[in-house]
Amino acid sequence: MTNLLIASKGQDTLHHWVQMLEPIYSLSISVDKNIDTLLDVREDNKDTLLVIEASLIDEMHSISQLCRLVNKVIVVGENFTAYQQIQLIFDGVSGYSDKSIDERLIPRAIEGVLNDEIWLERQLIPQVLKGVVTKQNTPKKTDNLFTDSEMFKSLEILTRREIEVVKHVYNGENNQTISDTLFISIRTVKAHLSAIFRKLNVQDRFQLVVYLKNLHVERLTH
Amino acid sequence: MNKLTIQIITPIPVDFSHKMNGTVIGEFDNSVNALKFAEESNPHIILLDYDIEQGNTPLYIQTILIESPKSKIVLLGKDLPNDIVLNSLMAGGLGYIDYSNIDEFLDKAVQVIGKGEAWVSRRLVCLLLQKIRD
Repeated sequence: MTNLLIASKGQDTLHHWVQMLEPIYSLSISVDKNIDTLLDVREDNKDTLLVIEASLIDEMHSISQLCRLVNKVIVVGENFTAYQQIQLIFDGVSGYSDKSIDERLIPRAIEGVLNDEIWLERQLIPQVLKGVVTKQNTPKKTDNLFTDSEMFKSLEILTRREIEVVKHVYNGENNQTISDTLFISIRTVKAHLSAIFRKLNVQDRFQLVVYLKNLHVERLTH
Repeated sequence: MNKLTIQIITPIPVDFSHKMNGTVIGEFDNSVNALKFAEESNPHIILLDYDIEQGNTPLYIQTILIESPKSKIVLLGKDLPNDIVLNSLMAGGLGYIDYSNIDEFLDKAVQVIGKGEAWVSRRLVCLLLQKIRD
């Protein structure tokens, strides 16, 4: 069973939250304005969902510390910017709810987070995805695995005929078209491709095209 | 706002024109030609079937976004496991639509993504964040 902990500076807010949450959830609700006390008395916070007023966090714990202590955290704040909300999520928070909009959304936020969802304004989700992509270091044109000169050298191991085949693959032509254009059998085209893949250490024609794009192959084909 | 331009990349031709409000400017069953078209035409939205490149899909999405950075890519598939969808989102995809829901959600997804949002469940975003934290 999930324990729901709520923490706020103001007794009024706490009282209001208890009134709002108790009828909805069959959860054990603990109320305290001191989060340290709450966490200390519990031996196992693994199954705890903490709803905490943002102003408490600055004084007691950093967000990431809190997220390590409990299973899930929802922050209730006032007028957090999009950047701040996204930063909370990347720090490990499961949801952010703004007091100024509608406190009745807090039960919905809790429900969503208990269902393993993220609770955040829908418009911010693309920015979260973008942040994820940035963290994954999406390669850019300038981020080649090799320098251009090294990659150009790698093409020197191809025969002249294989380079002809490479150009046609780069242009999106299938084996039949390459066969017709170069006056060779499809079997020969396939043999050339196998040799090219092996020499350039790529697995298929798509990976070959990506390799060539990194090489800016237009410089070879024009 | 101008009408959304949409490129479709699927192994078998599909007719989505009556299912969404947008102009289909290119349909491809060849990933290399589709990549060149994306580079030249910079469509607003690209509907990409997982089967076109299968295991290469994340690399394909990254490559498209290098050539056409403003395009928004939506993955299409049938009962794709979460890991596959997550890897596509981590590569830069902005949505996933299962073919079983396509009649119901394609237009909604296209319009939402056209406005700069994403078409992905909050649950998947949660899984995605867990994955990068692990």
